[in-house]
Amino acid sequence: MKIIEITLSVSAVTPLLDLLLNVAGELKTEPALPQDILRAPAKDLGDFWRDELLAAQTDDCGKFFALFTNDKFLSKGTIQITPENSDPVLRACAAMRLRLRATHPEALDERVLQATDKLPKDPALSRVLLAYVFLAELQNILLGNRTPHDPAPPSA
Amino acid sequence: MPANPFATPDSGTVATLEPAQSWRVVVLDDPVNLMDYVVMVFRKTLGFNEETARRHMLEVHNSGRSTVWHGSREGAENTAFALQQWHLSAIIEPDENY
Repeated sequence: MKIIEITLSVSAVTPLLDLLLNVAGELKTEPALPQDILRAPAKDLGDFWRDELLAAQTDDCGKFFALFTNDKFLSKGTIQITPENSDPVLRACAAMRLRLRATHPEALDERVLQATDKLPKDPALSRVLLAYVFLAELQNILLGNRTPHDPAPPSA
Repeated sequence: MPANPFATPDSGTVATLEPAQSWRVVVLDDPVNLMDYVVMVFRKTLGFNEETARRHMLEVHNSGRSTVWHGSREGAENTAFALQQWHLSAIIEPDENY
């Protein structure tokens, strides 16, 4: 994968990042996946399994926010995706989208998501929707710029 | 009358052989993850080619679930864990048909 630079509007993205920081904070103690999914695979491994997932998603979110806490973003709005941070950023986006959908069902129900041409009147709901769409767009850009050889065979 | 010291004891350990249980990893549909993301995760974690990954993604999307792996319990746990690290709804189930 090549290095991708994306230039964003700092004033548009900053309010979304404030919301996403809260979401990432929740993901330090709550897995992004629903509890019934996590319970199914390994009852005897429960706590270890959960702790490992929490550690991984916390690390991924840290790498996501590192994109926005440097001079390049603050001065020009530019974030840089490299082969090293691409996977963690993709996973962080997925985790935060799942968490947003679980915690803000009123802002992200199917009816709202289908009506992409109009935002909810409530600014708080509108911000949730914009953050959800922003994360999806970021994922789309990264997925669209992967080379066919990016996926490596599984190591296990 | 004293017990016969040469009699065969009526208790002990009996070893039986049973076929190893097979397990499967099933990915369930979720309304959040992007289709291309799911394809990429299948390729990356399961080593699928593009065509196979897309077929399984569409099965998840259309049928609500797709079996993506069969094998030992430990292998199924490792595979499900890898998929869950990418936030796919992966579960493991005993597989009587395999």
